[in-house]
Order: sequence, then C-alpha cells, then structure tokens
Amino acid sequence: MSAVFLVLSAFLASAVEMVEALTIVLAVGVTRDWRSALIGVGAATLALGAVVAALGPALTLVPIDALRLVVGALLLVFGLQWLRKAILRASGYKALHDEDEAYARELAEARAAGREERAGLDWYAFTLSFKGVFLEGLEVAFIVLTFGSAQGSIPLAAAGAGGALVLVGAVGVAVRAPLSRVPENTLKFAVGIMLTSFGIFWTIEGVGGHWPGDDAALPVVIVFVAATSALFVSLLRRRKLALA
Amino acid sequence: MRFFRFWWDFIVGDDWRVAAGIAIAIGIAAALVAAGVPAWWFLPLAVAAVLYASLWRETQRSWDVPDASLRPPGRRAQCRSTGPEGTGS
Repeated sequence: MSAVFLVLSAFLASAVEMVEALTIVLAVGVTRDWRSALIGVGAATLALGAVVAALGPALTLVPIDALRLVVGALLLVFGLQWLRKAILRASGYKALHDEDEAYARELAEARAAGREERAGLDWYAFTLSFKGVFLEGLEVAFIVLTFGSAQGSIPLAAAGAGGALVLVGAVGVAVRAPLSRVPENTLKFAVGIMLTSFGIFWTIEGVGGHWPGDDAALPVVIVFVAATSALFVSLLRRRKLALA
Repeated sequence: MRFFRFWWDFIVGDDWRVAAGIAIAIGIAAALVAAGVPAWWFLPLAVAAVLYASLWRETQRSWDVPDASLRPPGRRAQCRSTGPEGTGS
C-alpha cells in the first residue's frame, strides 16, 4: 500500500519541478539556441548525477528512526508550503500560477539578453538552461532520496520520478510550448497533501511513536489532510465572499 | 549566501511561522511519546491548526485576488502583492 503512495508522491512532486524546468528550457531553446540549451540540460544532468552519487550512500548510514524524524519534519514544512499556496489559490486569494505568463517572461528576457559566445556556445542559453535544470533537478533528487530512504526503497521513488520525466518530456516534445494544459494547482494540491501526510506519518515514527494499524494508518492520514484542506478552501472562499 | 537563500526558500518558504509551529509540535509529540502517551492523534491536529493559522494570517493581510472588485472597498488601498512564487511550490 505505502509503496503505491511512495511512487505516486515521487511522481507528482517530480512532475511539478520538471514542468518548471521544461518551461525555462523551451523558452531558451526557442528564442536563443537549441544546441546550447540542450548542452546545458546535459551538463546539469551530469552535475546532478554527481551530487546524487555523493549524497545517496551517506543517507543509508543514518539510523532509520533519526532519518524518519528529519525527513518527516522536512516534508511537513515542505508539504505545508505547497498546501498553503494551493489552498490560497483554490480559494481565490492568490492568482493561479500561469505557465503561459512564465513562458512569456522567460521569452522576453531571453530575447533582451545580448549574445556572448564561449566555447562555441551561446552562454546565456547554456547557463539559463543549466541553472533551471540543475536547481529543479536538485529538488527532484532531494524528493527521491528522502522519500526513498525513509521508506527503505530509493528505486521505487526513483521509478516515480522517472515516470514523471518520461511523461513531462514526452508532453514537452509533443507540444513544444509551456505546459499550461497541466492543471498546475490541482497537481500542487495533490503533492502538498501527499508530502504533508508522509511528513506526519514518518515524524510520529521518528519520535518513537506508533500508528494504530501501522502502515494501514497512512491512507487515513492522507484522507484527513485532504478533507481538512478542502474544508479550509471552503471556509476561506465563504469568508472572501462575505467580506466582498 | 545564494546557497543558503535557496535552501531557506526551498524548505521554510514564505511563512517561517509554519516551520516554527511544526518544530514546536514535533517537540510536544516527542514529549508525549517519552511520557508514554500515544502521540499519533496530536500531530495531525497540530498540523491542521498551524496551517489554518498561517492561512488566516495571509488572508487578513493579503488581498492578492485576480479580480480587484472582489476586495472590500476599505481594503483596496491596503492591497499588496504576496511576492514572487517560492521555489518548488
């Protein structure tokens, strides 16, 4: 049961980060130079591989309860960030994140920048593409390593992230435009619920507590977090209408 | 400096009070377990309370709604942006 949630959580969280990275690479590729942008993607992927290879084995040496406590606490604050923004957006207090707008902004910035060539590459295209993929990729790596280590299966978490990479990559190639068709806030809402639920579950185990029914409690926690979030959206919507 | 800024934005995000509230809640949960009291019921409730408090604060001070006509007349002048999107959320 928790293996399914692990893959699903890693998949959703990674997909959101990859959509953001893809938006940057597409904007740079379209306006500047595809070759430099793609070399930037390749260089960032290699750098990420080195970081993961260095950090991955170190995590397996940490005692599992300490790891669950640290990971659980991190996921809780991390998940609540996502959930908080998703609830604010769903209740109309915050504008929905618009990938079209982000894409247009990246395009304008890329066109405005001067052309500087280094080692036969358009340096602006290379560095922007590298930075976008490396930073978003670092977040994906963090998600995979922490989820996978705490649940005892990095390969399962990596499978979830790999699935997201294939899907987002395929959609990116197919549309070659910002992925505004992806219902971003719904995706972020789901990620926030999953991260927060895993965070609650692992933190209790990390401090030495036990869940009634052990792993079977996880779906109940997910339902609780989802229902509470839906209630908050409803309360905030009503409050906004009452004040309007 | 940018390295620390990245990790701060990545983990703590827009409202540091959420991170502080969660740290306190974890401390209380650990104390409950140490005292031999089951703590599984406490953390979900504490998380819900911390989240709602943060949302309440944000909606009190921020009226970043797409449709400005939805803002109460008295609050339109106080409207402020909630700032750029945080990393990863």
